[in-house]
Amino acid sequence: MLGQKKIWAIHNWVGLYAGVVIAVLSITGVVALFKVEIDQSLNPHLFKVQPQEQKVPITPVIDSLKQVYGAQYFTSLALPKTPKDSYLATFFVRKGLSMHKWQVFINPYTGKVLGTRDNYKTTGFFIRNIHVRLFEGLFGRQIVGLAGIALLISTITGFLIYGNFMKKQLFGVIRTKNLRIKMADYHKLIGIATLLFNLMIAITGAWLGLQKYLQPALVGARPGVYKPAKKLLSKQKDVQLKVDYDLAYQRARQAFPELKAAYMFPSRNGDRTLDIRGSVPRTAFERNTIKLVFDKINLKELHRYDVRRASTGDKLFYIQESLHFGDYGGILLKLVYAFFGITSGFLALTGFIIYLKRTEKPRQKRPKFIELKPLLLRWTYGILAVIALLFVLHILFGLVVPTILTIAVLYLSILFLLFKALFMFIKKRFFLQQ
Amino acid sequence: MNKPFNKLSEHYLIPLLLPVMTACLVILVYLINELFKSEYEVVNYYRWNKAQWTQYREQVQLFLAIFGALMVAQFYALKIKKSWFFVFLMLLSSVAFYYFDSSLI
Repeated sequence: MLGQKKIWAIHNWVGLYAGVVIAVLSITGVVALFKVEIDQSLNPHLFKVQPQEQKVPITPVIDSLKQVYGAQYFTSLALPKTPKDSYLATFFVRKGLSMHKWQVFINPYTGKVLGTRDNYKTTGFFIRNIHVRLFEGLFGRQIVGLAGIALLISTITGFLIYGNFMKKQLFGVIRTKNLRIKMADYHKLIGIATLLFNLMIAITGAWLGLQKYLQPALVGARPGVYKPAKKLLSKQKDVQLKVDYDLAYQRARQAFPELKAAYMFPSRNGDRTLDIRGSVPRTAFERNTIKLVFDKINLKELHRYDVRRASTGDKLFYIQESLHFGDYGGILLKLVYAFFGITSGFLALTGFIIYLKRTEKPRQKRPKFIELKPLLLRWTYGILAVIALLFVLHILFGLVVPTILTIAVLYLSILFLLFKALFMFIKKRFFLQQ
Repeated sequence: MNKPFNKLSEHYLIPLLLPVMTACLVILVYLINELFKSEYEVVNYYRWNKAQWTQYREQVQLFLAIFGALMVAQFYALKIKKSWFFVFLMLLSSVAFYYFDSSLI
């Protein structure tokens, strides 16, 4: 068994090395909770319409848009959730390194295009991408997943050493003897009060980040995916096929009245299918995982996936994202999540301050010693400047430029640090000894 | 006067009660959200008649009262710090979780 000292050492070093990433993810995570609301409030002219008595058929509008953008790029149609919402047709265009996700907003009552934009240049996409991948396109998701594991280790070890560190101190008492003790008391109080939440965020975050590796090993293929026995069409014929989206929606309403259909995904790989995905009220599963699969030509139901009737494994699989983002209790629950979510950043910060204060005396002897306040300000300004720079590049150039820049800076820095360490080691080992 | 130190409460029961409080808070917020669901959503997706919807709302209100009272009691428990009260509230909360999970239509 690990002794208390070893558990503390693990808590200390994991927090120290992963603390900055956890803090960044905590702040970006809180913003990501309100991604949709922020996007909609910044662009009400695209998302909101004045309700009228009669809606116009959407099929001719989609057909004409396919003529403009190219049928092969038509990816999905987002359906209005309330009478005040617009339709959103998405065209994903990828040519080499150039990637665009054109979003076309349509008024359901007039059929007129309200506006278009490249999703890769939107604030909403920026918020999600910085939280989910840190704008690192190669292994960003996995780095975030590892930070989830670090948070999990930190939370468990913190819980295990809690009693030992509290000694005879009463719960809720904050001592103000000095900054280190004050921060340590806040660290313990907030840490223990948010234990369950941080455990849940850590587990779901680690799963979502490392899903690429964990899913094949633990689950296998994604649950509920429909695959026909054989391809019925060529890709080219499949994308050119005309689909009656209005009739498909009506059929879906009849076949599955509880389904709050949110998206239609026509196949582009020759399957000749139309996926209608949505959610059922009063469930906490990931959005749009319940689905009906229709044949594109005759709109016959080929497949139905209702996660409520699926196995426990499937339910666990599809509950991770909504648990992580608090997507099952309206805006009020998101506010509760935001309050709890910011605490992991606070824990990283207080942990960092405790470490700096504890090691202040030996560090003061070093020539490059920096006081606590300027050091924290330097880190804060640095992180904010990087986020601001990425945001500007993202708005100006879309996804590719800031991603390449992040990858280049990150891995060149790692290489530089490795070479520096190697150089110092060789210098110390072979030259200074002589 | 300083409160007497009780290791069982301070080191074990409070750290166990706090996660229970978090779960109660999340359920409470979920119930508030259900209570204020828009008519559009209820009519179109809940697929209930008026009687079922009234029954559901009454159940939600009942659970709202139960979890609201539990949360008040839990905060009070943190103030008075009695071991038996922590245990009692955790047991009561477990019963409430089970009742909530099994009886909400």
